[in-house]
Amino acid sequence: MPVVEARGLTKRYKEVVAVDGVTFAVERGQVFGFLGPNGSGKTTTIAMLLGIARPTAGSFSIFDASTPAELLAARARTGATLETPNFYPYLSGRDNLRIIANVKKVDRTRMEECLDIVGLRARAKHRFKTYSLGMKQRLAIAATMLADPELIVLDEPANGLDPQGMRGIRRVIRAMAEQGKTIFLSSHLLWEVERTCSHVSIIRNGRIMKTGSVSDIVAGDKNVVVKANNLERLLAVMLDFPEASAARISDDAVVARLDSGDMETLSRYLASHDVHPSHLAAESQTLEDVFMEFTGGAQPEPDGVS
Amino acid sequence: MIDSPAPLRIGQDRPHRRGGSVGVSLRNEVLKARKRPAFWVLTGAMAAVAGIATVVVSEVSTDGSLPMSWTMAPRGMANIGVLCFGLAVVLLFAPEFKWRTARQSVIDGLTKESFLVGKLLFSAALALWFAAVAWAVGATVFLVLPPAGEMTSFSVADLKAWAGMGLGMAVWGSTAFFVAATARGEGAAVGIFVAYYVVEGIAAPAGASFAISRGHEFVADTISYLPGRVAEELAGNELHYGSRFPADSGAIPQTRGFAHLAGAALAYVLTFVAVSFADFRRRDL
Repeated sequence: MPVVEARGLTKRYKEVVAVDGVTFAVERGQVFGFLGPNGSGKTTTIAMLLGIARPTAGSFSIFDASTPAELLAARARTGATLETPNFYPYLSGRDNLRIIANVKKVDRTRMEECLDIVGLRARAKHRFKTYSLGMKQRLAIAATMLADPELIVLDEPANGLDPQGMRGIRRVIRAMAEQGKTIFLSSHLLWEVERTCSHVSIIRNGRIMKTGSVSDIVAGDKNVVVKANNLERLLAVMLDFPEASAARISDDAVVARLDSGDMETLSRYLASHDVHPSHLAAESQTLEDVFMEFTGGAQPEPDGVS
Repeated sequence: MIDSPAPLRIGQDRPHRRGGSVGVSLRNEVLKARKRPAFWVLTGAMAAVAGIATVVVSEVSTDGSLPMSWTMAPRGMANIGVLCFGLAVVLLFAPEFKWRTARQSVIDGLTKESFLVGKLLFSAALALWFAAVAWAVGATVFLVLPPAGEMTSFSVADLKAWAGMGLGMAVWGSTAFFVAATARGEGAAVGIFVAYYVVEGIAAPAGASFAISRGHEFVADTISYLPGRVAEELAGNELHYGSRFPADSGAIPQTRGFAHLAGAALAYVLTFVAVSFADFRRRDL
């Protein structure tokens, strides 16, 4: 039984289709990455799953609950934050957690424990509005962990964090995953997702473009990286090579997906077109390569608004 | 520290209890208000208004034309007092949309309904709090500046006057609640509420006079049923002490009766609250 399951989930705002028949399933214990560029429908999808936006069509279930009453109980087993950390700016970090603790019926000891986990205990008495973005993100993580939920939904949790903070968040996420929690993670940091998630879905224009385990997705194809003096000419030749696709300039090289051909065939092809590469190597695809391929090169936005 | 996370307890060893109770929502409202500077600023403003209103009443009453009774003490609840109360309702509700804390409350496990009922009950508690402040300040002023007239014992008329002021607060409170729920922005909600309070206060009497001068009794009658007019008449001395409070002309002023006005007030309260609930339930957070 999937922990989260969306079946043809659709959200329309008048003429605009924000989410268009999204279907996916998140199994227990998975760290599921939800990727997509700005405006792709990530946050709207999560908002529907969390019960704050009504689907126009389709259905979903969380812990097999699908009716409003069942979903209310399912939300008690879920810790979630959507977009930016949503707290009362004039209240202290501790008071903000107390408000959530009251709803989730969590005792004060657990509250302090969560503040400890995210390293905010020393600043817990200060007002939320005085926090840096990183501290706000950490408080949001603490809030999601309060009731020891089985499902954790995090929307751009690494937003605004410095490398050390990102590492800390990654450790917390991994620790939670190791304890059997299911994590649904929306992020624009593709390398973070690749390092943290076991499964991903890539969404574009409200539609799921690719779903699967990270290892399957990145292992499916090989990339070839070619460098030459004239990159424009090289790109033109590579675009015509029938056994490769998705050729593009990346930094000082042309990167393409090697579909059916091998390196030897490519080398001969380039030579026949009077292109003499200074560098020719095969590389495994990264999640970023797959993301670029399925989103048409659109860069995911860091603001998490979609 | 976050780099070395403490052992995390997994979900299975913690009993999951359902949220969604109105009591939790109400308790959170009290916590939020207690720590909100705007709440204390408006309480202070209410106390000041009550103090000034009572001093004025005390001065006016030296000729003995007003009943020197319990009713005069919470006089600050009427007029500007209801503006303070309405603003408090708006300021404690509308920012929840800007800060996205309303949505987070639902994500955390409150139902939309329990979130809103908590707000509504807290607004009622807020009305009692403001009334208590007004009464305490008014009573203190009377102790310091005793009016020349004789203090009377608490009467049915006094009780009705209190009820009238309470209903007036309910009308303005529900108006503020409705504005906050539908405007969904602190600035917009404050602007709309204050503008309505001011415009109705100025335009309604002028409009009614103009309509009567043109012989349009129906228009004047309709204007007299605007929320602020109903609230004002309910809180007015004419309604409760008509025979003891003659108008400038010396004639006993005509009123529409307490039950009639109370019915109109309750209709406004129910309508505003019902529309607020319907809108809140329908719209995405």
